[in-house]
Amino acid sequence: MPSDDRKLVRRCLAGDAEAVRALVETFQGPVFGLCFRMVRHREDAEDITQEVLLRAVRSLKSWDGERPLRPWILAIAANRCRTHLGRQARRPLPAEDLSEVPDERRPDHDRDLAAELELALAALRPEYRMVVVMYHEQEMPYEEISDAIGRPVGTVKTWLHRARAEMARQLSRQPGMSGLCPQTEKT
Amino acid sequence: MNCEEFERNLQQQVDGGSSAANETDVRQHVQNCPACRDLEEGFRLLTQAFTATRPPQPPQGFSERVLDAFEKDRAVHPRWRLPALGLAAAASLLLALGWWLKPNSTDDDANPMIGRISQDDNHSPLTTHDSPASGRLFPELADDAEDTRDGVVLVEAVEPVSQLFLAVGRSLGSPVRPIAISATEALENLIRDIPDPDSMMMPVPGMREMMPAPMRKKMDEKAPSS
Repeated sequence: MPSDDRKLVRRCLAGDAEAVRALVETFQGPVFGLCFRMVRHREDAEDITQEVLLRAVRSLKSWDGERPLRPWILAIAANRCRTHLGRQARRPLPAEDLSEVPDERRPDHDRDLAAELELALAALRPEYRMVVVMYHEQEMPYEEISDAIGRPVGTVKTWLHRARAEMARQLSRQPGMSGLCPQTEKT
Repeated sequence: MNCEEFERNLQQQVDGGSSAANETDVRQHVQNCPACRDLEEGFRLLTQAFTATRPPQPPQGFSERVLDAFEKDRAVHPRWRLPALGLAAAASLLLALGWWLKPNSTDDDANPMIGRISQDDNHSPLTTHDSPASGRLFPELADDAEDTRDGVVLVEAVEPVSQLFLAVGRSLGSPVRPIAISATEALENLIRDIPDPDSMMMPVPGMREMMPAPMRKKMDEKAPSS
């Protein structure tokens, strides 16, 4: 992967427009996914994602070619999200922006689970939420998360375990949630 | 098994690892601990939720929007702009220092630089209108801080920015300027003491007598009659 990253970055630095497109298309999903989970507002997440990708392309010279590209780009995203949340803390958030538009293609119980998951994520401290999203949604290994957030692997594990325990307690308290889980009905 | 061990066991299972604890111990603990029973249920729901939930995706055509923004950004901030600005700043600084350090015989020779920028003398050469450097270095300040008196801008009016240049000028100029003046004077003395080319024809006594007769005659014709 790092050698593919290096080739892509070398082409971007040489001014290859197709390489820039490939980089944007590769990383827009993970960056947007993280930003949306962090700021919980679609338009803001889109703006931040665009800014992150522009910054990343502009700063490719400073990327260390010995390390994978994804945590480097997600580190930029994490910083932008922190800045945004810091600003957001000083102004109230409109209630209608607090949740994702439901995905009509999903079955009802999955939609309910997604909504519950989102609520549980939203209740977490931002640094816990970031680690959970990177681990469970972006499927990043501990080492990459550690690189992206600039914390030791031990801290990443601790935050992840605490976050999961908090979310599990919240999900188990939701009325009717156990009824949505076929496995629960069997036990 | 206690509650802490029970939770650690659940975390390992969510991470994809096999349960390190004895299954009988786990079941026995769950039966006797309602809180851990809820926690186990919560972990099960959480795992299911992560499996069932797609990560949020950007809208269709989002990459085009980013690439358009990238093109606009590149048009506004071309790569050469930053180095060119750096070079321009360095060139301006060098120009200012060069202008400031050039020898000027009208200054106070005892302490030329300090005399020139003394606070007692508001007519600093950096701030006069006829100084080309004032317009080049602080055009915006010169416009704002203009004083109608004798076409002079007061030192105080441009002090916040110019103080840096003045300080640099002081520190660099004090040792350099006397040397520059001495070198100029030495060069002038050297040029002054060079004999006139015409008079160089008779520097050695008895030389005329040593010359051949036609040459001596020609020299006598060229020499001004005294």
